[in-house]
Amino acid sequence: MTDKASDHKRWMKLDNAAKIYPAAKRRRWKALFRLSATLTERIDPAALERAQHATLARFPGFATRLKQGVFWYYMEHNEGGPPIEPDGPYPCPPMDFRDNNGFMFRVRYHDRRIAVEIFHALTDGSGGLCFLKTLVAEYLRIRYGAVIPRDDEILDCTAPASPDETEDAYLKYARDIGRSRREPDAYYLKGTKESDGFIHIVTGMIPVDAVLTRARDKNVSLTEYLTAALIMAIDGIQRRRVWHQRLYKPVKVCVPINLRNFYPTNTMRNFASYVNPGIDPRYGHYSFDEVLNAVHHYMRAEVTEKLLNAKITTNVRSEKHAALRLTPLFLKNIAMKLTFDRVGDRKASTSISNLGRVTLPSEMGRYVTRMDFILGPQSRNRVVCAALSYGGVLYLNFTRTIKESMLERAFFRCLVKRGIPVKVESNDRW
Amino acid sequence: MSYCVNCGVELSDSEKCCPLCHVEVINPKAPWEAPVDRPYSRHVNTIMKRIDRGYLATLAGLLLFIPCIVTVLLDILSGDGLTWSAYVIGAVGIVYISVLLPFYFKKYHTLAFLSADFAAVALYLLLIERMGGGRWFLGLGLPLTAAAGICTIGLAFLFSRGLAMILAKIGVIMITIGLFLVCVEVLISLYAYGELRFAWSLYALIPCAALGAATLVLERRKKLKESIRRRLFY
Repeated sequence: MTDKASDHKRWMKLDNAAKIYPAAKRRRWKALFRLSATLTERIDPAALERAQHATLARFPGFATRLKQGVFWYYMEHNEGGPPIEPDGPYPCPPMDFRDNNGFMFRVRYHDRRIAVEIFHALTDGSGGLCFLKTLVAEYLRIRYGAVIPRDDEILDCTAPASPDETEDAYLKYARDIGRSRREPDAYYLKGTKESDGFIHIVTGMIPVDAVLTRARDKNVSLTEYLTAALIMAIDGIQRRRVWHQRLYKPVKVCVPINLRNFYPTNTMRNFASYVNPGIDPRYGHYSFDEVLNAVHHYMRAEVTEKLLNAKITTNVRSEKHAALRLTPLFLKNIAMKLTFDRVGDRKASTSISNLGRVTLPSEMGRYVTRMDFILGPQSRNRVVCAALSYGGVLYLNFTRTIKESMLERAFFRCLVKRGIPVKVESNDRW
Repeated sequence: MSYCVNCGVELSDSEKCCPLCHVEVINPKAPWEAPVDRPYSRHVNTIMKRIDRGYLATLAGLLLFIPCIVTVLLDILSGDGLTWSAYVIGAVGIVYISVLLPFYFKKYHTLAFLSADFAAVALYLLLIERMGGGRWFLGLGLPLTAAAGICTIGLAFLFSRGLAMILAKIGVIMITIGLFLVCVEVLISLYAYGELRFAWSLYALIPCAALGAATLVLERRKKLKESIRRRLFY
């Protein structure tokens, strides 16, 4: 954070990816995601509040409020913390920062579960996971006196924050040559919106080994396997709903890529890119193996340091362009909102965000029975998916803002047909 | 543990119905019981109502009041009393009723609001007649407004009652437009000449009615629709 002698409040700029979110947010939609940990006993809110206080001291990027400058949004240090709230019937309802004491995240609890819901301008899934792990570690220390070893993923709250944890890694690693972001629009999954804004969550719990075995049999990764199953599900829906093959649109799934796997950085802020593997059903009826092949080779070709760097360079160059930098914020907001509406979620039919295998030290793992990663509703796509695996179980969480559950049904049936046992849980109202 | 017979997935104990296909879980060996610990709370946080639509509408209405006051003042100060500013006030009134009034209500009551809109238009025409002189409101203005209102409200009523097919909607709209144009000519001829005269409106009614009837027939003939689709296949 920049310390200004004349201004006691520390502040920092938004990272390159974060700049779109304050501009694109609406009253009823903010880019939120949620991470939760289910413990062995009921949550004590008082202990959780103390844990939050301790954790916030270690995460200066989270202890901020969003402020409007003349040319850009920025984040300013915020004292205190958001109120600890009981969880609601569905995750990631719209967040009003004013109800949160200005903070851009909130901590909730229900029964034995601690959940953190984060506005995407603060961080991405990896950064959010680090925050959750540290929060839970602090909670366990306060509640049970547990001594949890600290490392890069569970930070030591007594140590000061390192400056490289708040660096904008996009600016650091972007080079000179960008590449076009143009690609065709994807098939849009329509449905009946819930009149009261209810967000449906369907969780599929799958033994990791079951999926990994089948993925390895096909020489693909777990993410590629799940992506292919999603594409098959959406393709089937499009074939039933669109009457002519010539009217089919490409079926693509947005897969975020953690750039920390390519560049050395300790940043706790956003540092991810994305790819949109998919198929074009106009060419014919794809079998599952063909889809797997397409996804696998697309990922092999696109998920490389060079091509990902070109992608982030395009965004960084836009940010550094003199004309854009000198445009007043209110004009930038209008332009970014329009761009986001026109481009934003249109390039993919849905998203699947996989945080991978989450491991905890044994001192902590014996208190934590389950972890979940849930994406908040997107601005346009009605159904999205998030995944992580913990304790040998893959937790797939579908977030849906429409009544119809055809995508989840088709997806899980695709897995069940291939001999993968699936257990489902939901927040359906009864 | 129960499984969904449709989807093949195992169902968590908290699931009364399969969340994927909504088929009820009926397992004689393990009848469903509401779990003590639900996976998600039933506690509903108040969805933020920070933006009160009614308050916004009132605020916008007050803002609209400003041009009214300004025009009235200018009008009065010009020395002739209230003249042209009445038109401005009337127009603002129509904007208020058609745009801002629905904000006070949670749901858009189509028929009620449309009726209010046409009533506002009729009152505005009355105002114009009073200000401009003449005796055309009862003979022409009101009947034309009523005819337009009846056509629009009738269409809205039909569509809200479930006339969902696009071809049927187009057909009904075409026929309504044709009949409305006939109505317009009838009213104009009665007002201007005191008698019924049909001239131009039939030239509009016949193609509108023909097109409308054709689309309605086409809508009901599934085989014909299919065959046209097949012939137009490219």
